[in-house]
Amino acid sequence: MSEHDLTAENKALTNALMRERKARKLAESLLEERAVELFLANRELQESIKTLKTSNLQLLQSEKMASIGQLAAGIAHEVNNPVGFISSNLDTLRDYIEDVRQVIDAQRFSIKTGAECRDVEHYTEINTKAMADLKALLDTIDLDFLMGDMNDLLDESIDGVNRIRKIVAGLLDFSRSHTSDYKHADINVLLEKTLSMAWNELKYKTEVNRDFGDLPAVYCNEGKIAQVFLNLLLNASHAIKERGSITITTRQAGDYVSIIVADSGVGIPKNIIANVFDPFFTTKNVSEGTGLGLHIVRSVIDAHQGTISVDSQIGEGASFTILLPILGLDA
Amino acid sequence: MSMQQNLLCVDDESGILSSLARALRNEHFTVLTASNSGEALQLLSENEIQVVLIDQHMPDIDGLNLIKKIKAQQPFIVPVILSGLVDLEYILAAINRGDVQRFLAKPWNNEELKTVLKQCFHYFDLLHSNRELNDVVSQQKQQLANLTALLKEQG
Repeated sequence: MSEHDLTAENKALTNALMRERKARKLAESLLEERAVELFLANRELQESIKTLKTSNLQLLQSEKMASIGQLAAGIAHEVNNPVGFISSNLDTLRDYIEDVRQVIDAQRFSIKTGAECRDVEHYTEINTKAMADLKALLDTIDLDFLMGDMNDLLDESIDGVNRIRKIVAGLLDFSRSHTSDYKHADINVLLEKTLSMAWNELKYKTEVNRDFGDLPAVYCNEGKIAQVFLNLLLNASHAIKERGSITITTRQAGDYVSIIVADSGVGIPKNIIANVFDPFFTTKNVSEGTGLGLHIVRSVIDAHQGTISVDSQIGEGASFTILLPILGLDA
Repeated sequence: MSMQQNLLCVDDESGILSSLARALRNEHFTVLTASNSGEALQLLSENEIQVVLIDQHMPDIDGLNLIKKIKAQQPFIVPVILSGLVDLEYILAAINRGDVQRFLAKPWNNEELKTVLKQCFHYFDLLHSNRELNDVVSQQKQQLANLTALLKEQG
């Protein structure tokens, strides 16, 4: 090969190399641009997932608050009753103590005048008068009754205070959001707790029958499962127009626990029964329901890898069946 | 008036009933208590009762409906509702219709409770003597008419 040829080839190769280098640079910068784009898109996606998660939590929390709101009137009434008799009892206790104080004062007076008296004849006279005064006082004040009733008054008032304490504790227990609190829970106890929360809503028109079986502990999020129960109980109560019954049945079924909440209410029409778990689907007035109750119920049960189904005939009530795995997994 | 004065308190909550009986133990009337509508109607049929103090929220019947039942038996009885402030509109309407004489809110004040009940007994007495006076007036009117007729005949 001549020198000239070699130079030409060298030139051609150098040109090719330059072109290739240029192309690679272009490719690299394009790649980098794309990577940045992907990175940004990824970050955006993560943000939206986070937002979705928070809004889902908020939705859950606000639905919970909405169901507590429905209970508020009943809770106010339930608290007002013990507050009513406790405050009246305290007023009365003040009167009782005033009466007792009068008797004690009269006795003290009689002791004091007796002790201070040096003259025997005078003493008898004073003592007789003091005794007569005391007796007259005891005729108007029934001391035995007062002392006995004071104990009853205090016992009843303490009972009332304990009732209020229980109501407030139940409310706090329920409203606190234990979002990731999974533990081994006794479903029957959880049902009892929820029933006592909803009792004011239920007791005026429903008879609640408990058919609780022996259950193993279920690994679940207690707060959320309680919310599910509350929702089903409130729905059952709303479905009952005048008077009716709610029957709660729990059983172990293999690796699952079944919970059935059945009411004797109006029932769900066939044409909408498929929609009851849809978000914002409601037959209630705006003030009565958010339309999210059963949707959230199902999402909670889904998160526990359980199932929920409904069965209803018009005029014959509705029954909701939940199956929860005993060995649930953290969602 | 020489008639025995009786108050009937109806509430499903035993704590409320015993606190009412306690608070009113020294008043001029006797306090009877019932924890449901059956007991209340039973006591009403056995006793002269002038004033009833009734809880609005009860499992077997609501206060206003119980008052309707009672008034059907004893139209002159004076009803008072004792309730939380929950069903205020419902109760206000009943007061304005004249179905309920007075309303006391839970938690109540004992002094206010005594004053209200005293006024209710007084109101019952007034109505009672009004009815008696009316009877007398109409009797006398009749007598007067008879006399006038007699005079005319002899005229």
